[in-house]
Amino acid sequence: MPRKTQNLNSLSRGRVRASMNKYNLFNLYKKDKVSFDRLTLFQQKWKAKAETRAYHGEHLTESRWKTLFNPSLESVAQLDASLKGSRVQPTPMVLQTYAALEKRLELAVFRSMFASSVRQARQFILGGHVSVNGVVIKHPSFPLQAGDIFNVKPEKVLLAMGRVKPGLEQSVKVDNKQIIVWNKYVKSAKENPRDVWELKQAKPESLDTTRTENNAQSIKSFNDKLDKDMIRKQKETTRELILTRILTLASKQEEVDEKAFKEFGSQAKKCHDVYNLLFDSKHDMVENFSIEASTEFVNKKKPEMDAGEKHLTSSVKQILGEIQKVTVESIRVKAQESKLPEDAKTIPFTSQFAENLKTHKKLNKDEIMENEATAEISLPWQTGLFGRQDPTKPYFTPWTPRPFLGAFAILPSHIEVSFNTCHAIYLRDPIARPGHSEVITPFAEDVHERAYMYYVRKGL
Amino acid sequence: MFRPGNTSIARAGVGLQQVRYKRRLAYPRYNPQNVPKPTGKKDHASFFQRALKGFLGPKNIRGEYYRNKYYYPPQNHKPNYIVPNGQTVVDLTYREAFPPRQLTLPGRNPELHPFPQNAACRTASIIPDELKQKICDDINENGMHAQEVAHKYGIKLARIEAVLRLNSIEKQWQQENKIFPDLENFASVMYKMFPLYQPPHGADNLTEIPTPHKTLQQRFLTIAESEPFGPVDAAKILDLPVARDTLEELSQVNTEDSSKEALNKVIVGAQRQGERTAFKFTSRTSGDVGFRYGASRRDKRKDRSVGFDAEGRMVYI
Repeated sequence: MPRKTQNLNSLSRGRVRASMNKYNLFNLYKKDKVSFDRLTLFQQKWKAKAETRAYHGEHLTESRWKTLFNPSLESVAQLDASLKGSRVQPTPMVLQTYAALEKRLELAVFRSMFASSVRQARQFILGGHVSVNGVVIKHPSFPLQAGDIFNVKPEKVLLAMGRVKPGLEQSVKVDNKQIIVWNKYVKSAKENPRDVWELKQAKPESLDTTRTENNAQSIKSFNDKLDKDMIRKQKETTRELILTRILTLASKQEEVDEKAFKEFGSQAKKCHDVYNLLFDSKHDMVENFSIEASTEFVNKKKPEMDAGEKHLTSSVKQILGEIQKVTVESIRVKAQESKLPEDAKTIPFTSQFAENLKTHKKLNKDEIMENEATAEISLPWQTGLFGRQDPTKPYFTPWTPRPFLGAFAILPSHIEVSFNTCHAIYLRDPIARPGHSEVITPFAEDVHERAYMYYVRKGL
Repeated sequence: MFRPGNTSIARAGVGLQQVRYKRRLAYPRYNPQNVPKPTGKKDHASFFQRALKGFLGPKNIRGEYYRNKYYYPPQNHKPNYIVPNGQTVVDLTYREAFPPRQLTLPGRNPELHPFPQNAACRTASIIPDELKQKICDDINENGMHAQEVAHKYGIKLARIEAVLRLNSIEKQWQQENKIFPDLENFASVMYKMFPLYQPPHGADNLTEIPTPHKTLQQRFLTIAESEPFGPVDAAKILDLPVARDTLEELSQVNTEDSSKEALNKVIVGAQRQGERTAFKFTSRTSGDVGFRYGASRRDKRKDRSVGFDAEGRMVYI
């Protein structure tokens, strides 16, 4: 049985606990340096032990902890210290005061970030979700030894490290709110797309690091789209198509000159040459042009032609080839010029932006409450109900990291963790070395020193 | 007039706690300018509740504190541990500033040290996936000894062996298709949250040995002023192996199988005719076995030593 307790995370009391919740974060955030000013020695020791015990094994009663406490502190000596030449930092020995607790299974599960608090780790162990060396252990106090491998069921780890799964009612409520906001956005985007686009660009960047769509990615997708367009256009500039286009343009004019081929830019003269060659030789294509005829003309084999035709075909094909080469190059240059630099702040407005947006139908709460499967949601950032994409799972789906995880995630030195399989290996009991203690604790040496003094005299 | 509700004990409430010194409420140390003011007469939120609200910042529809800089986990292998300067909410007025007062330790790096008051505690660095693969290849395919690999990458032997074991489990899970998308996502988020191990920076010290207890006490020795006294002499006096030799031993690859069991010497007495018992004598160290006469024997539940059997059940030894 863990120690009975009330209001662990009281903000006015402000104790720091071995837990990852937001109240505890705030308590840690506002925690002052433990002050021992104007206190008697015993008061100092009492205060130090009260502060440290609130974090270390808070769930244990004082008498149980006193039996676990080991006054001989473990540390390591570095044999190459004298060879390095630099001054060796002092070893924070007293930070090992609570090292005896760290070998307990519950603490190891918490330290490997498979549970969000020591009390939750105990729940997982008692529920039979944790095994050590392949054997289910239901004792939170199980002492780990060097080399022991332990694992927690992945579903439990995702539950502990993820956001809280919302209830169905809550989820529908959130989604209806999201849909209202989304529909408003779509409506205004359709009315004045450019303003909305600019507003969207000017919005401060989201702090969400796990979001798949951020500025760099949207720039990349914009550039990729340009690349794709370029390749498509380049593939479309074949000699056949150029020839057909030239003849089409020429047929629209009564008197054909260079100006007719304006859209070819610098290649207008060459186009005119092609036309002239065909016109002068009175080729059939000038009158009855089509893509099939052009294809046949371009692909016709040499042996099938007589001498005059051979000459005409080769010269036309040569000019067409030149035009094709230059056009392909100009497409490439154009695409390169319109590409965005990687550090671009804004993405240029495209007219399709608002057209692709679609409003979403409002959810029918009663219907969904009766049968969750009837909910159909496809917002650009979310499919399925909020946090309940897969309602059979006990955690927020798709899995999202729990709030403020980053502030609490500390990789232990004495445990090797594999997050892929939710396995971890206990390498050794935590030790102290010059300038570093493997026991994870928010309190400095002076506090631990007094707590050690308290326990080494068995609470005197 | 006597009113029971007015007595000081009644006001203190039921949860009266013994306090050995005057308790001061845990007010934030940073400038409480960020604490929002009460919103009106109906607002009964306490100072701490309002301070918490100010700390967390605004909440969006999805229930995220989207402007709080600690809300989302860092994903660039640079941890973002707290700096208690009262600036948690990133908005238009936010400016990254040095803490106004010395709120944390001078040597503390918020990308490495998780707690503002304890610079001796730091997060370990995670071994990159490529390096893990290299370690496994070196041992499984190139036939290197684990100790050689430990020296090559500056990682302790125990950790190298752990990486190997965990890697084999990962392979097995992949074959059995046990790694589902959510778990993969979780693993990648966790992986990107911790600093990467980039040898030789942050390499383990492979010359570490448990501090000999003899060196933890002071020893006094009178020697002549002209007499030289170095580490070798000190080792002789403390009856310890010389550090130089230990270092050499540590750097050598130990290919011998360390799983040899120490054999305990047992003498079986000859059973004479008519004797009902065959005696067996086992050598044991005194103190490890039996009870000393006169020593206290505390056998209450909390004092009894506890062990676990092969099925994970707790047994009293």
